[in-house]
Amino acid sequence: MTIVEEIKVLKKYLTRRNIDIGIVVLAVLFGIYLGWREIDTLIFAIFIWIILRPVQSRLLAFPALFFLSLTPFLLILKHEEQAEQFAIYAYYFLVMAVMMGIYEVRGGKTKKLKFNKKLNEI
Amino acid sequence: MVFNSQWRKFLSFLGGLPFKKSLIFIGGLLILSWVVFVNRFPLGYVIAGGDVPQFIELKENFYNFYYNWEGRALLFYFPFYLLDILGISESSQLSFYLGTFIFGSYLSFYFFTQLIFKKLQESFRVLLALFYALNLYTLYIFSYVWGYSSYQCLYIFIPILVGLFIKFLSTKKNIYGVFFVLVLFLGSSGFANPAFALAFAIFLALLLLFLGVSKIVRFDKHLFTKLAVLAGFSLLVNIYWILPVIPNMQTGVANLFWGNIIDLDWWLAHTSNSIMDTWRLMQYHNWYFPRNFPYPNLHKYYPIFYFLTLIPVFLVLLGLIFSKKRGHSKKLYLTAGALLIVFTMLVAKVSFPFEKINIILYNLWGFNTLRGYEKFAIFTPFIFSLLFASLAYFSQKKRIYLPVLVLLIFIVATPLPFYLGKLQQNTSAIFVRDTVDFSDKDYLQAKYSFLIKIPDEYYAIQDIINNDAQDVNIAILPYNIVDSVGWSNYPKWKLAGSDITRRLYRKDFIHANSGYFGGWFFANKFNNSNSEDPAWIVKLLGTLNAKYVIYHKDVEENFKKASFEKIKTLEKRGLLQNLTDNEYFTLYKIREDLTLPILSWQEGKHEIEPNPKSVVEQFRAINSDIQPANFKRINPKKYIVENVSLNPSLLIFAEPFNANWKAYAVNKDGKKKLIKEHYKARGYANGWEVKDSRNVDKIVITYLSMRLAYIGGVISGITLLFLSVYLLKYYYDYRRRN
Repeated sequence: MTIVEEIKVLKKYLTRRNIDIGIVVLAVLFGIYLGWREIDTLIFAIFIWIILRPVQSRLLAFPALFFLSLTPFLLILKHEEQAEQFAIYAYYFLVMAVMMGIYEVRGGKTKKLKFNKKLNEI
Repeated sequence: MVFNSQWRKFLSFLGGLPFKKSLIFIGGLLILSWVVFVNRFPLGYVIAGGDVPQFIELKENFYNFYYNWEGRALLFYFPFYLLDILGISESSQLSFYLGTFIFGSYLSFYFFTQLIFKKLQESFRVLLALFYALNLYTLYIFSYVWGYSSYQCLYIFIPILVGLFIKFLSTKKNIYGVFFVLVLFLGSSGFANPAFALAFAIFLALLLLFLGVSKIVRFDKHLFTKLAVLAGFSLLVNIYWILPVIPNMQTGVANLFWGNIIDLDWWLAHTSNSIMDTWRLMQYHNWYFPRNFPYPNLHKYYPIFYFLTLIPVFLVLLGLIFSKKRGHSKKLYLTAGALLIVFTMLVAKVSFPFEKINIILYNLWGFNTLRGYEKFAIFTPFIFSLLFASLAYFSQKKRIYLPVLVLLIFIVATPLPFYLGKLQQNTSAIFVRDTVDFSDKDYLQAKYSFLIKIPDEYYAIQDIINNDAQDVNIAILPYNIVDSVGWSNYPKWKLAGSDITRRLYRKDFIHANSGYFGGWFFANKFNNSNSEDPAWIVKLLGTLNAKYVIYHKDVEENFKKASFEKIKTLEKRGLLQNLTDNEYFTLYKIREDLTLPILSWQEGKHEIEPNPKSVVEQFRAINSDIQPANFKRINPKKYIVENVSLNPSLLIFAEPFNANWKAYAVNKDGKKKLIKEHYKARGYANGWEVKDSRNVDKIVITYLSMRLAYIGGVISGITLLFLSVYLLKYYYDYRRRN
C-alpha cells in the first residue's frame, strides 16, 4: 500500500465522530489512570462528550433530578454519606446543564430531543 | 368580603398598587407580623452568647460605641439608640431586630422583582419575597445570635442592590447607579466586618461576568467607564469605614476584625458545608432546625422535612427542564444557576470534591477572611430566590404554573419555628451544648441559653463603677474558659459567650479569658499555680490600670475552687478591698497604691515578662520610678498630656500596644511634631521616648484609625450630598418633562 493510499484509509477512519469517541475513550483511560471510581469516570466521560457533542441542557437536568430524588430516602434511612454522594453527582449534572444552557442562549446548536415538543407544551 | 371605596383607596395607597395586588402584598406583611408577634421575647431577658451579645444600654453606650467601632455600624444601631431613649425595653428591642430584618428583606426582594420582573404575578412576587425573608438561612441566624446584631444586615440590602445593579448595567442609566450607591451606603453597616464587603464585591463581580456570558449585558468601553464611575462612588460613600481599616492591614487582612491569627486549615475543615446542606440552605451543625427538631408532639412528621428542605433545588432543576429556549428570564435563570454552582463550591470549603481548589483559593491574600460559613452562605437565599423568580416568570400562563405555586408555598412553610413561635425559647442553637436529645429543652431548663437574664446584682454596682471619674479598668477573675478562647461561661445565669456585662459599665475590661503580654493567659496561671505568692496577680492587674476586680462566683465550680482561697488571702492581706459580695460575684477595689495610672512618666524601660516573678520584680521597679502624668481625656481615642517639660523622658500609656496610637509633641509656638520613638512598654503598653521636652508645651495622643474615620466621614458626607443634589436635579427635570 502506498503512502497516499494509507492516508486515504486513515482519512476514512478519522471522521469527526471517531475522533470524538477517541477523546472520550482517552477521558475514560485518564479516569482509570487516576484511580477514580467507575461512576466518577463515567460522569467525566459524559462531561467531555457533551463538550464535543452538545446536547440540550434540559436533558442533563434529568440525571441531576434522578440523583437528587434519591437523597431524601437515603437521608431517612440514615445513609447520609450516600445521600451526599448522590448530591455531588446531581451537582456535576447541574454544572453540565447550566453550561449547556449558556451555550444555547449564546446561539449554540444542540441536539434536539424527541420529547422536546411535549415538554414545551407543558 | 366587601370593602368600601375608601378602604380600597387606602389599601392601594399603602402598596402603591391596584387593589387586588395590595391585598396580596398586605397578606405577606400580615404573615410577617404574625412571625414577629409569636416570636416575642420574654420580658427582662436579653440575647447573649457566642461571639455577639445584644447591644444593651445603648443610650449610655452609644458615645463609646462610636469611638470603639470607629463609626462602623452606627447607621444600624442608631434606631435602636432612639428606641432606648424612648424607653423601649431591651427585650422588646429584640422584636425590632427580628422585625427590621424580615420586613426589610421582604420589601427589598419585593422591590427587586418590581425592578427586574415587572410582569410577575403578585402572588409569586409576594411568595418569593416571603421566601427571601423566611427561609432556613434566616432561621439559622435567628436561632443563633447573628440576627440580633448588625453583622448580617447586608442580607436585607442584597436584592435591592442587585436589582439596581442589573438595571444600571442593562439600561446604562445613571439614576440606577445613584440609587445603588445610596442604598449601598444604607447597607454599609453590614460591612462592620469588612469580610462581608469583600464577599459582596466578589458576588457582584461574578454576577457581572455571568450576565455578560449569558448576553444580558454587552461589554463595551462605555459600560466599563460607567462601571468605573460606579465603583468610584461606591468607594467614596464607604470610605468612612474603609479608611480606618487600612492601618490594620499592616498586620494582614486576616486580623482586620478578630485581631488574632487563626489556624486557617482548622477553620476551613470546621466550616465546610456539604453540597446537600448548602442546597437546603442549612448549616453543617446539628444545632439548627430541622436537625434540631424541638417539637416532640410533631416528631412523627419529622421525615417530611427531609423532602421539604430539598424542594428548592428540585424546583431549580425543574426550571432547567421547563424553561424556554431563549429569552431574558432564561438568561437570568442561567446567570443565577452559574452563581449557584460557584457559591455551592465556595461554601463547601474543603469538603469533597472541592478540597484542592478551595485550599488554593482560601490561602489567597484576603480570602482567608472569608473562612466563616456566613460570608458566602449569606448570598445563597438570594440566588435561590432569583432562580425561583425567573422560573415563576416563565411558568406564568403555563401548565406548570400551579405546581410551581404549590411548591413555593411548601418552601415558604419549611422554616416551621418561625410560624410556631418562641424561636429562642425553644429552638435556640445553644441547647445542643448540654444534651443530645434536645427536643425537650427550653430556655429555662437548658444549661446554657442565648436568652439570658442578667442578674440584678450586676446592675446594682453600676453606680459604684460608673460614677468613678478616674480613667481605670475593671479586671475579671477567675479564668473560666470551657470551650472558646475569649468567651465567658457563667452557667449560674446560662451565659456562654462574649461577656455581656461589659456593656453595663463605662470602663474597659481586663478579660480573664484573653491573652495579654503576647498571649499570656495570666488568669489561668493564677488558677493553676500555687508555688508563688498570689499577690502577683494584684500587681499585674494594677499595672494594667485596673482599679476594680469582679471575681465571679457564677462560673463552673472547678474554676472557683482553683482560685477562691487565693482571692480570700489577698482580701485578708488588704490588697483587695471587698466592696460588695453576693452569690454571683464579689466586687473588689485594688489597694490604691497598686493601681498604676493610665498615663504616666518614667525614666527607665521596665519590661514585664509573662511570668509572676517578672511581674513582681518589674512592678517594684516601675513603682519606684513612676510619676503620674497631668492629662485631659478628650474622648476615648484622644488624650492631651500637659506640663511636659517637668517630667522624665518616657511617656507610658497603659492601653494595649498598637502602632495606630500616635503621640504628637506640640511646641510652645504651636508647632506639632510626631514622636517617632514609639515602643511596647512594660511588655504590653504604649511608650514614647520624648527626647527634648524643653520646648514642648503638651503631647497629644490620638488613635490614627479614629482620625481617618473623621476624614473618611467628611468625604462620604460630601459624596452623599453630591448624590442628593443629583437626585433633586433629576427629580426636578423629571417633573418638568412630565
